[in-house]
Amino acid sequence: MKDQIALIDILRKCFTGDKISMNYHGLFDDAFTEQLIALAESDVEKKAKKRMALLISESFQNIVRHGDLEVSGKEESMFGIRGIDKFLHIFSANSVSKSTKDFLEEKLDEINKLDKEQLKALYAEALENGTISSKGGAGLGLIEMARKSERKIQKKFKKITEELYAFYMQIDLVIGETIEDEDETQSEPISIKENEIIQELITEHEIIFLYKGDFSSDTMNPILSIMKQNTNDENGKSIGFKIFHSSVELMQNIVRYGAEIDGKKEGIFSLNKTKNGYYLCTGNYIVGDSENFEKFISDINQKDKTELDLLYRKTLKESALNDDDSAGIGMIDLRRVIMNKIDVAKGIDSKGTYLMIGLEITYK
Amino acid sequence: MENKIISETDFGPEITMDISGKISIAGKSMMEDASLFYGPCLSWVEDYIQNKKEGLQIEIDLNYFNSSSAKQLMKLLMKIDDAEIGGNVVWIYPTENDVLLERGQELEIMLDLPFKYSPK
Repeated sequence: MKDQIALIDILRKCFTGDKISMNYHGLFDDAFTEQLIALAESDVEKKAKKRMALLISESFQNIVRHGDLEVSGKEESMFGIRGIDKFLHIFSANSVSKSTKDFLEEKLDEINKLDKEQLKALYAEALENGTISSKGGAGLGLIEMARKSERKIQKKFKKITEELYAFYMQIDLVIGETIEDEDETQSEPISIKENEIIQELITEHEIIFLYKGDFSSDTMNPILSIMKQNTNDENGKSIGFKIFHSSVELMQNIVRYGAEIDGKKEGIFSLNKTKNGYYLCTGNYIVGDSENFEKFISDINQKDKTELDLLYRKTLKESALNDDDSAGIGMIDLRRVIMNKIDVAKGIDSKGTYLMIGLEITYK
Repeated sequence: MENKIISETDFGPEITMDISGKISIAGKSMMEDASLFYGPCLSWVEDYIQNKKEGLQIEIDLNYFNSSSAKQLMKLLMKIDDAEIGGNVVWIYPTENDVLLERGQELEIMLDLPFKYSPK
C-alpha cells in the first residue's frame, strides 16, 4: 500500500505553495457547503469572508444542482479550494450535456467581457426579467460570481462524447492584503489547467477528500463531519466507525506531535477509495527524528490480534497508573481495530522532516 | 459534597455526578487532551470515596471515545475498583456497533467491577 502514500506525497508536493488546499470528490449535497466554508475560513481575512462563503456555496451548489452525469462508471465531479498568495481559488468540475455546454460557454464569454458597471446592469436586468435562461438560475449565479470575485471567471470544456462535456470553472478571489507594490499588482491567479491536472489525479484515484493546511480543533470538526457522511456502514459493519476513529486519532497525532512552522501545525489528510475499502493518510512535519516511531510501528505490524490486545491493555493500564503521556495507545488501537499493517513514509524538504502515516480500512 | 454536572461540548460528553452514588457519562468523548475534561470528575469520585459508604454505579453511554478518553475512563474505573465501597458499570452501546461492545468487555477483563451490558 506504499503506492497510496506515494500518491498523496505527490499531491502534497503539488500543493507546496498552498496555504490551504482542499479537494472534495465525494457525495454532492448541500449539507456539505457549511463544512467546506468552515474549513476554508481559517485562512481568510475577515472582510473577504462573506464573499468567500457566497462564492463557495454558489460554486458547490452548481455541482449539486446540475448533478453528475457519470462517465464510464467514474464520477467526474470535483470541488476544490486553494489558497495561494493573495488568492483563494475556487474550482469546480462536473460533466454537462452539449446544450448546457453551449449555454455556459456563451454566457461566460459574455460575462467575461463586461466591466463592473456593466455586470451590475446585467444583474439588475436579469433579476427583473427573471427569464434570462431556460436553465434555471444558472445565468444569474454566474453574473453574481463574476461580480463578487471581481475577476474573469476561468473556464474550460473538454469533449467526452458527442453529447457530453467536462466543464471546469475557476473563480479567483482576492482574500489577502492588496499591497500596492509592483509584485502584488503583477501576481496573477494560477491557471485553471493546473487544477484540471489535480482533478484528473483525484478522480482517477478516487480520492474522496484531501485537505492540506493548519490542524487544530477548528479544522477537525468539519473534516470529521465530511468523513462521517461519506462513509456510511453500508457494506460492512462498523467501517464508517473505523474510519471516523482512525481520522480522530491520526489528526490528533498531528495536533499533538506535529512541528509548528510559521505558527501553524501544517499537515495533510486524505481519504480515498480502494478495491477493498478505504485508505486514510495523514502527514506532517515532525520535531526530531522518527526512528523510534518507525521501529514502534514495525513492531506492532508484526503482532497478531491477541498480542495487540495484550499490549493495548498493558499500555493503557500503565498510562492510567503513571499519569504519563499516552504515546502509543492510539496507534496500537488503530492497528488492532483495522487489522491491516500501518504504512509509514518519511521525506525531507526545505521546511524539515515530513512523516506520513497511512492505513487501509477494509470491508471484512 | 454536592451533585455536579459537566456540560457536553463539541468534543466532550455530559457527565452527571449524583451524591446518591450515580455517575452518568453520555455522548461522545474525543478531546485531544481528555485529562482536563475528566479532571473534575476524578476529583469528585475521590471525594465520594472518602465521604460515602454506598457503592457507585457508573453508567457509560458513549457513541464514541478516542484513546485519550480511554485512558481517563480507565483511571476513573480503576479508582472505584480499588476503593472499598466498590461499584458496578452499566455499559450502553449502539446495537450495530461491535467495536463499542468489545471496548466494554475489554475494560471488564481489566477490572474487578461487575459490568452489565445494555444495547440501545
